[in-house]
Amino acid sequence: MISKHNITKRIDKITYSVVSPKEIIKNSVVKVITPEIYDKYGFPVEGGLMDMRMGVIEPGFSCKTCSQSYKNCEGHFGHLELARPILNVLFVDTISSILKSTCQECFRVLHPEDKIKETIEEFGRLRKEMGAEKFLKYHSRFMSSLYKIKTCPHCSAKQEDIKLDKSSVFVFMQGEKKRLLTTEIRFRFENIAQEDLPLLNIVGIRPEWLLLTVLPIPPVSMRSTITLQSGQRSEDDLTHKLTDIVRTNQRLHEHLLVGVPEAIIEDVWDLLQYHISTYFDNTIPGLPPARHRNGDTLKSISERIKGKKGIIRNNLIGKRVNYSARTVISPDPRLKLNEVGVPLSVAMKLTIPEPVTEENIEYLKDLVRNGPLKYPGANYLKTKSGSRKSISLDIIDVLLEEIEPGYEVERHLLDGDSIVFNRQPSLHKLSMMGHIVKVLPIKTFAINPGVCKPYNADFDGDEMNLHAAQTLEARQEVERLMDVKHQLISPASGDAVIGCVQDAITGLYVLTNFLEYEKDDAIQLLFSVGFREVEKINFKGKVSGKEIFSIILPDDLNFIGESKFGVVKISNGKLIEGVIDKKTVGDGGGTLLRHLHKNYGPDLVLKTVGYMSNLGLQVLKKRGFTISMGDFDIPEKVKKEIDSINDKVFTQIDKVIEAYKLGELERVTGFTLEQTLEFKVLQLLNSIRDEAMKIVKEELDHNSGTMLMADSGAMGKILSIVQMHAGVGQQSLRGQRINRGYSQRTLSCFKKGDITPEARGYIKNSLRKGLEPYEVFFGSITGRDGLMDTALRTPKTGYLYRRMATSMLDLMIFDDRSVRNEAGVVIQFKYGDDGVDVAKTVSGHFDVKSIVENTLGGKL
Amino acid sequence: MATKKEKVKKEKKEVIIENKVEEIVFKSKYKILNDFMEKNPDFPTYILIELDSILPPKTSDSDLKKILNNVVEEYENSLITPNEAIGVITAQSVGEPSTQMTLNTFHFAGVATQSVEGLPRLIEILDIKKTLEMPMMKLYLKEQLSEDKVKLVSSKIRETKLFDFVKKVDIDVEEKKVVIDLDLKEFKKVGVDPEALIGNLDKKIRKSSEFDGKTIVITGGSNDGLKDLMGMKEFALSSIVFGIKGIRDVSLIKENDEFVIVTKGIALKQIANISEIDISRVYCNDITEMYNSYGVEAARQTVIREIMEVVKSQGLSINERHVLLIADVMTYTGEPRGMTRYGIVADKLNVLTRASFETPLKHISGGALINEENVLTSITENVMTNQMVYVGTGVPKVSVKKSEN
Repeated sequence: MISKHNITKRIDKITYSVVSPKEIIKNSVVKVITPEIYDKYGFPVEGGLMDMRMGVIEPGFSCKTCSQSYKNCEGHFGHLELARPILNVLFVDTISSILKSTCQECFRVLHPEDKIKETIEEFGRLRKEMGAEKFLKYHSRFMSSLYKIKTCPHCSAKQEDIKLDKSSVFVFMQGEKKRLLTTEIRFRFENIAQEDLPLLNIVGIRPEWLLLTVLPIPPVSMRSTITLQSGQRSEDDLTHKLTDIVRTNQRLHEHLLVGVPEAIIEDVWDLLQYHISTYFDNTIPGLPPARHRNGDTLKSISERIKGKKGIIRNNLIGKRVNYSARTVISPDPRLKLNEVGVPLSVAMKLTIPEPVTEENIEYLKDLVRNGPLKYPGANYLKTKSGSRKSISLDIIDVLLEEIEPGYEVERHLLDGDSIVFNRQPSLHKLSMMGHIVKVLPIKTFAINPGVCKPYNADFDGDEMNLHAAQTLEARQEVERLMDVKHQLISPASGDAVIGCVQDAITGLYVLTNFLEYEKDDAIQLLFSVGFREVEKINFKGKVSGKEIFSIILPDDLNFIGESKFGVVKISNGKLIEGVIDKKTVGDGGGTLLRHLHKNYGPDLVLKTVGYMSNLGLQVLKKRGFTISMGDFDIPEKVKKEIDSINDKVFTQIDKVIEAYKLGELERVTGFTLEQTLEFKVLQLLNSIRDEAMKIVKEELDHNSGTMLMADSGAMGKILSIVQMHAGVGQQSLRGQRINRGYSQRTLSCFKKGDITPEARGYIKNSLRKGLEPYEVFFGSITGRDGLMDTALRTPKTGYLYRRMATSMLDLMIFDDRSVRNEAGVVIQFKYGDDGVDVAKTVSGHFDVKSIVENTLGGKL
Repeated sequence: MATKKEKVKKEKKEVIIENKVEEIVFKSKYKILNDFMEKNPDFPTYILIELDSILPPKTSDSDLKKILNNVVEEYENSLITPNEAIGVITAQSVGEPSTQMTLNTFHFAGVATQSVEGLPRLIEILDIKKTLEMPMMKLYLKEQLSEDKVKLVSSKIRETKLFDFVKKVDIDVEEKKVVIDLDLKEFKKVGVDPEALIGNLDKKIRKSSEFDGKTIVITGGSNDGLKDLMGMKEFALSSIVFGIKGIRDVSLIKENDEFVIVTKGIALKQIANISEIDISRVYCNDITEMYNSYGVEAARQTVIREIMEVVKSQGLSINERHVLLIADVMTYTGEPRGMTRYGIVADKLNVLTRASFETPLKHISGGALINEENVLTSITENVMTNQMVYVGTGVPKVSVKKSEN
């Protein structure tokens, strides 16, 4: 509905400039004359800092300039006439460089007359060519060349050296360091010729504006008073600072009128300069920060802008929103991948506005009739004029009478609504995806564990945010662009990011590897998965797991891929060869899923992944699945074998060490003798691990729960199993054996100079057997190192990402697939040299082969 | 995959070699493919080359036409959607996996040369740091030589101090002399004449020293004490007598049946003087050095190669297209700029974009001095002012014709 309230104008352009005193006075509504704020009755003093013409902050009063209440009045500026000019601290560097580069007699820039025009033209050209930052550097080089000129080329007057002493005092370097007063500076600046200004890189302003003669007083709304619980009023830091300024200014005025000695005037003047400097910036190095009576530093204007908590990063770049919810998440494999289980309590708080039309009026009336306390109901009603009424039980009947097309009902969240779901840190666009609401009688958000990967979520207490999109456009975008089904392929690599996880993978692996069912059981299994396409089921006698899996695949699917144990071959929708494991259907790069997406589209992948996950889970449910200590029992024979490997390698290491000590060790090129020793020992120690792995792989029962999980890739690695019963192995720190601690030894239980494996972080025992005390220490060292690594990495990557994002965020693909920035400059003529979207490639490749295969009917 | 880009000529830059790149012209054995290529010069050639290589031996023309049609259709479907905010996607695609990179890992490239890997290296590249933690060069030879000969070449490159040739040093306090016994065997290994080598000694020492073929005798001043003589000895031993200064170590690796010299330290200009080295294939991991010696395009290639190296060594899968865009953003002005507040961000058009990154006051007051005028085209400023951004779905506009009544 377009009403006069929501017609907005677009800001097209922002211009930056220094405000002239004239303009400050023009925009001012109050001339501040007194440091007093309130009179004895507690009302703002006229001409004081809280003058009601600058706006009001309390309800019940109206602004004396625009007669609006505190809610609508944005405030108005006032001004203070300073008794003497004051330097603007933000421009001190510029003031300094102008002083040094202009003549002290004729006030022209120290640049020969005949060259001025030429130089200005060159500046204009260079600014375009170099870009802002480089030009500034170039210009500052030009300026410092002017500083060295000692006689003016215009009037041949001699130039004295001027230096910035302290934060805002200029002195002549010659003689007894005479001070250059601000009045003198202002006089000089007033006389700088207009045509010289471009040389100083000053455009559109007068240099004397860099010195303040009139101070703008910000509106009251910008520095509002806080009323404490005790009824005491507490003024804002800025108001405090302004009181100081006004008071000092008044004193200076009086001194000037009375005719006090110049030395005293200068003192008061300096004080005023200090107050105004710290009002702008209270963190100037070399200037003691202004403080409260209790010792806290005052917050200046620049501190309000700067930093993470400043206005720019906290309020302008980052915004807070309404219509959002946050709770703990928990898994629910019964949900579809793009659904989210929303607690009833959340669904009754979040609303979605729905315009009332002739067609839906009855439906919306039903919702209003239910009210805010009965689901599905509605919480608010927006009338034609735009006013928002809260629906409460006692006025429902009145509202029901009133409601007519043109109204808007803010109804509860319903099943099927599209919302945005998000988990921080939002590192990529897959951290915010569209989901479809499913209201459930639970207390947490529930998601399918398959979408954990892109969110990087787990369920150990993670919380996530839900945003209910309000406008029609936003809801359409959520549904058509952000939905999980449109985010199945990662734009970073072109692989599938969503897939089966954990038990689902184990189940599919077990099913396709060796399981066999009776016909009835097989049908029962498929039915429990939710598979209803009965006509596809055509079983006879004993049914293999591969056949059952094939049923949920499309009929004409042809696929050749890889699993951990060789080729996976699917032809005409039948799994002929190989087993299904993490590589084909897992999250984060399932090749079969990528293939399905390419050839059958996202909807089918969503459906199939749902079937696959449930199938895996149901198989495990039927078959039973557990892990136990028994999985780690190794036969006595294997134990001996591993021990003998250990002994063999250890004697070899002893020999190497012996050779090193005798000086017989052959140096490997590029290594010192010590490095050679380390290299060889490390190699030998690693060989123990490799051989132990081989033996464990061969000897352990591959049908035990632990091995099934490791084999299918669902959870755990073979290495972990080796560590559990063969031996933990070498602990390495920064790519080397542990080699730090006490002098010449790692722990105090070793002899000095001991370089045997045990003394350098080799853990011989297995986790099952238990570690020796010193071995525990070695384990802790690497453990702590890992923790530190993550703790240090997070802020580093965060900063790197922020820099990359700000560097590139304005780049956009244009209609010709070129990449251009906000200035329209072409960065790439064709994105990636071929214009292909990574998310539409198969693992980054434009898949020619499958096109040829498909056209020729798999004859290749 | 070289982008056509106007090379900005720098007058001061000393370009060692101008590499002539021959344009590879692809000719297929199928006439249909050749005709197609002629008609569509913009169609990516690599797709056609791949197609040509995997076609079954006896493909009929009608089949080929069908295939080609399907390839073109598929290609058009795979094109990226216009108005996509590709910069953000690229930043995310590289930024997100970088949280999984390791810190503090060193990786042995070659035998002796360590290289920094992981996150620290990525930051180094994106910042275009001037001093690298592990500067490295890869030098290829003009022709195949035997291992011994290659070793000789590499010893010419490595900086060698007098210390490496010394057998014994004596200090004679009474005579004020430092006597250095040289090990002649070592000279043979390097393949140089001792005489020539001594000539490379530092001037200060050369003046007061004598050489008789086997020993160097340095005579000190008459007032020198033991401390001065010791200092002189240290100075003499640590002076570089042979090789290129700054190359701290060299090692040999074999790459595709070819010896490659990997160095620790970079000296591209001096390398050009060594006749055995093929300077058209020299590679180093310092982007600034590559830019100074070979120009922007080389710098761009170095950025791509180095980032891909980090990505691969960390076992991540980031598509090359993202890396290409990063490299292009860093080099499109004609010289490499880092992603820092002094580099790319500093050159942003809009004051508020720069201010929102770092040091806001500097940018705002700087903008005021030159009366900057910003049209709100960038994302940041429109976000700040609560306006629709000009990217993605914010670009297309729909206007509705108002009905008569």
